[in-house]
This record gives sequence, C-alpha cells and structure tokens, in this order.
Amino acid sequence: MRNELVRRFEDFGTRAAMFDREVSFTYEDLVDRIRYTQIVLDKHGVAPHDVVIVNGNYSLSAISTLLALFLNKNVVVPLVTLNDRELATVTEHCRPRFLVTAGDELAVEEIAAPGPGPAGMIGHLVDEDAAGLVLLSSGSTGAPKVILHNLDTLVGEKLETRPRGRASRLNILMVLMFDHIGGINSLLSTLLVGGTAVLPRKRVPEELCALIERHRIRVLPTSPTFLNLIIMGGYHREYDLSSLRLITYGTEPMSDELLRRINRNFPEVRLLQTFGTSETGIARTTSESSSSTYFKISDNNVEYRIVDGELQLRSRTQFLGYMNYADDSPSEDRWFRTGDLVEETDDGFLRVMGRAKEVINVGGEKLLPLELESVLLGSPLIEDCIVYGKANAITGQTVCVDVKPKGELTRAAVRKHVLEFLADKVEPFKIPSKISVVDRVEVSERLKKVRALPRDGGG
Amino acid sequence: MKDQILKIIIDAIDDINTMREEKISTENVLDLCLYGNDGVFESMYLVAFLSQVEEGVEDEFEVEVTLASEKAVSLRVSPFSSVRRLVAFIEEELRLAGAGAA
Repeated sequence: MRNELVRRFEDFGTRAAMFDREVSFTYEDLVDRIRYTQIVLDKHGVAPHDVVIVNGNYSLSAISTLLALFLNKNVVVPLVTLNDRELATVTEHCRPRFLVTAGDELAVEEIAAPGPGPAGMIGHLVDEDAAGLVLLSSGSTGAPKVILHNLDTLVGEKLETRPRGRASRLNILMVLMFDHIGGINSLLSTLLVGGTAVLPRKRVPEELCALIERHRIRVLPTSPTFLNLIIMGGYHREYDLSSLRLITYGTEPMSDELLRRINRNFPEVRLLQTFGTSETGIARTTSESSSSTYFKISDNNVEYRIVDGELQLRSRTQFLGYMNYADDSPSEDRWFRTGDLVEETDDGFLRVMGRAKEVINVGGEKLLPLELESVLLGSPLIEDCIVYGKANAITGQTVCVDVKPKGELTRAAVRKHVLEFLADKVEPFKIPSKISVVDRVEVSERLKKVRALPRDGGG
Repeated sequence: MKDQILKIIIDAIDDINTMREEKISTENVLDLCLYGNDGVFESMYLVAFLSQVEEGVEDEFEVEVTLASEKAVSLRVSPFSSVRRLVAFIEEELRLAGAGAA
C-alpha cells in the first residue's frame, strides 16, 4: 500500500498537487518533500509506531510530514493549534515521543524518552504493523475525546478509487480543518487521485471566495453555516464563483430554508450532503436532489440502522476506540451511536433532524432547534438565528433564540416580529420565551454554529 | 424603585395583551394573580412573561435577574401569586445584586 501511494504520486509527476500561499507544487515536489522529511525524521530517531504530534495547518510542509509519518508507520496526531488542554490530553493518553512543528521550517523535538511499550490500544496498530491517526473531538465541555484510527485503513479505502486523468482534474478548496476527519478525508481523496488541493491560510469567507475565483475551484466542501456567511456577506456577488460545480455540505444539519437560500444564490451548482463522524469516517452519500435535505448512504463500506430515532453506523473505516473514554467505545457488535436524530422515508432516504443532546424539553414537549431555525429563516427580517434551550425552574427548559436581524431593529421590534411570525406556524410551546438580538451568530473554528446546550443554561 | 418595577410589569402585560384575544386587565394590577388557581398565565406563558420582565429590569437597572428560578418557586409564598409579591421579589433580587441605590 505504501508503495502504491508513492507510485501514484510519481505517476502524477508534473501535475499540480497543491497551491500553498500562491505557490504551486507538483506531485514531484511533494515526493521530494516527503523524502526530505523522512530523512529529517530518521535523523532525529523517529522510529516506526512512535506517536508524533504534528503541529501545523495545511501547507506543503505539514502535508508532507503527515504522509512521511504514514510511510514510516507512525501514529500521527495532527493539531492545528497547540493549546495546553489538548496537549495535556494527548500527552496523558497517547504518550507522544516527538513534536514536529511544520511551519516554514520543519522542527522536530523529542518530548519523551522511548517508553516501555505502546500506550493503550496503540498496541493493536503495532500488531498489525499499521500507521495510526489520532483525532480529538471538538466537545465543548470536559476533556476532548481521543479518537484512534488505523491510518492504513483510511488510506487503503482512498486507494480503491482509480486516479483521475488530467482532463477530469479535481480542483478542490481545503476548507475543513487539517486536524478534523472531514479535512483529512478531503485531503486524501484529492491527492490520491491526482487532484489539486488549494490551501487557504485564513478560513474567512472573503479569503475563500477570492481563492475560488483565482484558482477556478470546482469543488467546495463546507458547512451550512459557512455557506450562509458567504450569502449574508454578499461575497458570492463580489467574487466570480462561476467555476463551482459541486458544493458539499456537512458537519452540522442543514435546514430546508437555508438550502433554499443557497439554491437561489448558486443555481448552477450541484449540492451534495455528506455525512460522517470523527469516529466512523466520511460515508459516500447521494442527495435526493440539490434542493433536498434527504440523502442516502450509498457506501459499500458503511452499514446503518436507526435505533430510537438515532442513527447508528458501522463502517470499515471505523475508529479503533477512544483512548480516554473506555466506556463509550463501540460495543462488541461495533455499532457506533452518532448522536444524530434522523427520519427515514419509505425509499431509504434519511434526513438529519438534529443532535440528540440539543433536544429542548419544555414541560415534556420536545423540540429540536433546527426545526424552529428553519421556520425563522423564512422571515424576510431575519438574516440568521440560533435556537437553544435554557433551564428554568418552572417548565424545566424554555426555548430561547438569538436573532441577527436584517438591518437595524430594536429588541422589542424583533420580539414582536418573531412572535407574530411564528404565531400561526408552530405549536405554542415552541414559541421562544426569550428573544435576544445579536450582531452575529457565533461560529466555531470548525465552521459550525455554537449552540448552548440546555444543561448549560442558568436559572 | 417599586414604581419603576411596576411600570416594567405593566408594560410587559400590555405588550402580551396585543397578542392575546382574552385581555388581561391591569386595573387592579397589584392584586393580579399571575400563576395558580386564579392565575392569568399557564406555565409556558408565565415563563415568557417573566423573561420579558427580566429584559425590562435589565434595560432599566442594568442588572441581570432570574425570575423563573429555584429560589422563586421554592418560596413559601409564591412571588407569582400576585404582582405585588413579584415586585417585592424583584426588589429583593435587585438589592442582593447591589442595585439598591438605583
């Protein structure tokens, strides 16, 4: 498999592998850089199966390091930002031996002496003589979950896709993050078939739209929230985005109303919903249509079932387990609970209704934020909004909404509008009791809306 | 301070009345029972009403108070049994929050 990967890159030769800060690098350059990195790693004593943190964002340097470590059968921990909390978690549970800082220069630092043996379930990877990948979950509370993947399995699956010819070149903008399953998936999918990855430095709408225009990007993998930011800011009118052929959206549920807005603004572009988790990898999907939030999981490597409304997955590219939450790791039969509530149509299309933990319970009556957000986005006066639950001592929880209105509106005016707008559209318990006006809806590093969970509420 | 709080409550009721078919009379407002046997609100609407009052208090006194709190529901005499008691409860909450001089 390792030979196959290198052979492919050598065959792609002078094709552009990536654009990093306006500089084009061919696959030959990539192979050279991987070999150089292998020498540097070797010089510092990095041995197969050592756990290595790679601190960096998308760049020739970071990508080459990732691939060199794969070839060397290491366990790679990509971290875009190195903060104390994440470093402490990784150190405790993975016992990393090296920290590689992949900036303009490559810096390798030995942070621990060789240990008595591999940490926890890394032993499985040693037994299989495979490389590993550690991802951290983006949990908002508590320590992040440490998710261990077999990197050979992830790469192997991508090698099953035949390389593309020069004519049908894939030109893709790396919007999802380098240390996120979606980002790793996009990167491997692109490079292993000979596509060109355009690497952004800043993940803000302006920069990304400018890159789409300059590099005639065809494929944009992104999130619903980010697409809304582009439309709200009018960036799709400011920049020429006519090269786009396919927008894939995932990482958070899409509301029908937002999808309508996107379709209106990108009439020529095909829209595809992707579905995946850090634990199970990204499944191949087909959307019912560009204007539908219904999709099918059409991936031979992925099985699914629905238990009590929650989607469960079992995939070949599934993680080996959590290194710090033994109890939550998949059971004997390996079904993984996604935490997503879905509905299924008779002909097998699925629709994500929201996250199980985001259910708002108002005196026994239940609501998912997405449903109400979708209704509210239909208002001509509302640009964006976020619905969440807040605990109180009377009804258990109440529905709250933060609204970013179109133009200047007072809180009183927004409240009046929201109440009138919702009056004949939703059941009374879904009417928000607290309505606030915000300048912007907060978006996380991973381009998702930041929604307070009911248990975070005061009262 | 009492008068200011009372005005906030009356404004909230007036506001809610614009959306309601069966209007709540504010004639004898201090004795108006908000929740319970003779209460004018069901629980869900009470919470909405209280959060509107919280908002008014926040605007007027620049202090955040929580009215649908454990403390409020566990008081021997409910602050929602009359507007008079609610005013007293808010006054007390404001005093505890250090807004007494306002």
